[in-house]
Amino acid sequence: MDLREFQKAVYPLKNKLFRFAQRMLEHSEEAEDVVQEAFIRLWNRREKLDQYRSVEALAMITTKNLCLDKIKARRHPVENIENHRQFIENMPEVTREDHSDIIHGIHLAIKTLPEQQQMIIHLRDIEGYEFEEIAEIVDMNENAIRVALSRARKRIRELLNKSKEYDYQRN
Amino acid sequence: MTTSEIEQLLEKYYEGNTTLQEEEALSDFFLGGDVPEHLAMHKPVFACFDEALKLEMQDTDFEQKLGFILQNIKAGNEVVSPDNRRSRIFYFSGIAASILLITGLLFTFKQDVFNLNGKHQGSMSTEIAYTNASEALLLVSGNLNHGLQHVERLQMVDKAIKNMELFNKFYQYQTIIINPDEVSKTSKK
Repeated sequence: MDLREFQKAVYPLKNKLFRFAQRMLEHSEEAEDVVQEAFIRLWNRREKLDQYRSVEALAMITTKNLCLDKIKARRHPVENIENHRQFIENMPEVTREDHSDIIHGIHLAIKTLPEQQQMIIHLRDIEGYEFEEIAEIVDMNENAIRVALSRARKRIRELLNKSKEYDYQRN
Repeated sequence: MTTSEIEQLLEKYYEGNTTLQEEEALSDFFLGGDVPEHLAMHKPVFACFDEALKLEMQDTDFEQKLGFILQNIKAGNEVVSPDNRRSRIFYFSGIAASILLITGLLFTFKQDVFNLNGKHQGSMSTEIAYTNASEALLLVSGNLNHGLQHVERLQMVDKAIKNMELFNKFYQYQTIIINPDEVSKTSKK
């Protein structure tokens, strides 16, 4: 595989990998570094890339592993999960026209989930992967993925219910 | 799609049982204009996911920079990211330190054993000294793996070496043979 072929096959994935890394790391520069490192690793395996069923899945797995390494190496979490929780607890007023606060709240709610659930809800609800593909990326079976996904979605629903109650109280 | 169908799909959605097509239908419905009042609370979820998909990398030179790096790798120059380089230094210095530690320990203990052996030539006590020493070395090698907590046990080696010095004295003050079996054998003779 020469450089041009490689770029053609792999470069279109860059934003997908970036979003995944950004979701896990919450830090744009680190996420960009991770994507670059992932591409370098794929390039180092360029002779074997044809043997993989899906280059995309391999790219996602590589990105995931790099992110998990980064998280493990962190001495201090970038942003305190506790802050996220507090923001969610004291969700600001929600108006029907402007959803920006509650959307922010949903992002933070996802951030308070266990890593597996964060990855799964991201891959499914944002990137639209099939369960089979998610299973390959996060290395879990499809049933466990459905359970984790359901938990993650219900966590968001709890948040919505809370803001709805708030809405009713106001009216 | 009717409202009741949407409600059913939503229930399925929260249980993690919808297909991608069904999820797309839900998304289209909630991102579209007419969402009934009682379902409006779910709107931000799909708006949030839709918005998140629009996130893109900020660095506009990314592909150019990467292309340069990849070309260098192709030319055979290995590129190691700064992170990696640092962790490699730690890795190799760790190995070097442990090799030094082990050789250092082996040398100190071996020298003591050789010195003792050299001082007295009697076959009995050299044998005992040898077995003692090999026991001690086995003890050392067995315990090295247990890590720092167990280093205290090395004191046992000191004891063993003190014993050997005692044998040495006994030998100098003559014919008191340490092993009781040997004593009985010689007295019978």
